[in-house]
Amino acid sequence: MIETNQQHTDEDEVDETDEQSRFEAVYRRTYEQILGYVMRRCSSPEDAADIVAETYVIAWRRVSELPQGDTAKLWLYGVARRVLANHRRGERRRETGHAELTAETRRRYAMAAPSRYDHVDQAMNAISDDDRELLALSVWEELDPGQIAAVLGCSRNAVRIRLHRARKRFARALKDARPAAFHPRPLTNEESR
Amino acid sequence: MSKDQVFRERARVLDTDLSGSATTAGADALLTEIFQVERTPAPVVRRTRRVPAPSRLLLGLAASVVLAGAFVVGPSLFKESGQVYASQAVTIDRDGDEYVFYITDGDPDPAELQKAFQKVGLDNVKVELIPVSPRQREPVVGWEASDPGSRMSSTTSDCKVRVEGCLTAFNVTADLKGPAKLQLGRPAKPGEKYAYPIDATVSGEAMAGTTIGGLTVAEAVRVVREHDLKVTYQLRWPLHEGVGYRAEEQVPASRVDPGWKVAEAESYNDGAIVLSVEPGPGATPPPGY
Repeated sequence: MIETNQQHTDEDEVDETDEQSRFEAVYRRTYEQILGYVMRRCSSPEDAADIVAETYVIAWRRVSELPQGDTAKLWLYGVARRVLANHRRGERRRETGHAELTAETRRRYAMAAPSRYDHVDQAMNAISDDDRELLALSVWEELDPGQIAAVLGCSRNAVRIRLHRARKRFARALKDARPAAFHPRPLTNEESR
Repeated sequence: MSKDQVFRERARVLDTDLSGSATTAGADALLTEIFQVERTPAPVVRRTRRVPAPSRLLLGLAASVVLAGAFVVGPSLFKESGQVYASQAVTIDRDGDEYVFYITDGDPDPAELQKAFQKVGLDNVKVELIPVSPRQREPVVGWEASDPGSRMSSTTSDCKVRVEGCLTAFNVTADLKGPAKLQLGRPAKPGEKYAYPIDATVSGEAMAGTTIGGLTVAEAVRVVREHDLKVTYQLRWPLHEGVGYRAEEQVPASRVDPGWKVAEAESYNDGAIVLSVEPGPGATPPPGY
């Protein structure tokens, strides 16, 4: 009886080790993309660090569901998307301290180009959250419609159509938000000299 | 610069800027902390019930008598989540502060859908069915609302697992304030213009497998006519020194130079294609463009 229990314990440890190895491989392979995904959507480095950490905590808890290969990245984008949405609704969980990650993320934010609000930002704010996210997944994450469909949980065809519409709406918003300098106006006396 | 490039340049960082970050001290420390987090069994499904919705097949048979009246269950019976309504066309779950709609009819009766929204208290939502390509496999969903706090999103949940025969699913804020409009695709009738354009070259569409973007107008017209389809034109007038464009629709063929380039082909209806054309150098846009 004792031997049987011991055998189970050994098997459990082997399983745990296998799962840790598999998780670490996915973690190392996807970390840059998930960190990038979150940083591009989060204005605060502290929040970004929290969301990256929580995304991977959830992935570890659900390691048995973690897909193999490139699909793992899409699955993790989906998890990060939901964590981000919960975070924006004020639902926050913190199961790791990740002080070093927070410090690193602060440095990365400090190094990023300073933002300036102009007609492009105005256009990006004018379109809906759904349109902006579709364009972001396509342009920032460089996902094709099939991959976006996997992240959002809808059909590839629906993504193609929505992406097409989002591009049109963004183009229209850019037009509507054209900078004041582009508007023709009469020259002042000094300018016309 | 294309509008995609304009969008891309607004990224705080690109993945290439983060090269090497997976092996920093911060990444290592987080991984160590994660392995210390106690793992739990598979997550508990939030919904309290999993009730297969009636299939369309059943409804077409004698069971229609039983299922003719949709049933409404008081949300209190299911606490914060669970099924609150089901009919031939739609099953509705309450999930926290949202309702989840599972659409099971590809060409639903708008009155039935409207009734479903009313049954769960979303009286202000006007349901509109819009014609889309019959070859489109999934219904199109659109949403307009005056309430800035309202949300409608395609759900990432397992639509078909939750409800048998589910075609699409979406979440809507339960505590919706003010009027809103939901648009859902229905198969267009023969000759009816599609409300949602669809790339004519994608699988299942009239010109599947062809490449139209990049051809001259003359070349594209020849390919379209080989498919026994009619051609209409739209001109794309560039904005912002090449960033973005404004479309001029219903342009007569006499104003389109055969040598101009085609950007893309979309299905106008089941018998006609809209060629989106980029006017060549020196072309003069009409007043207002």
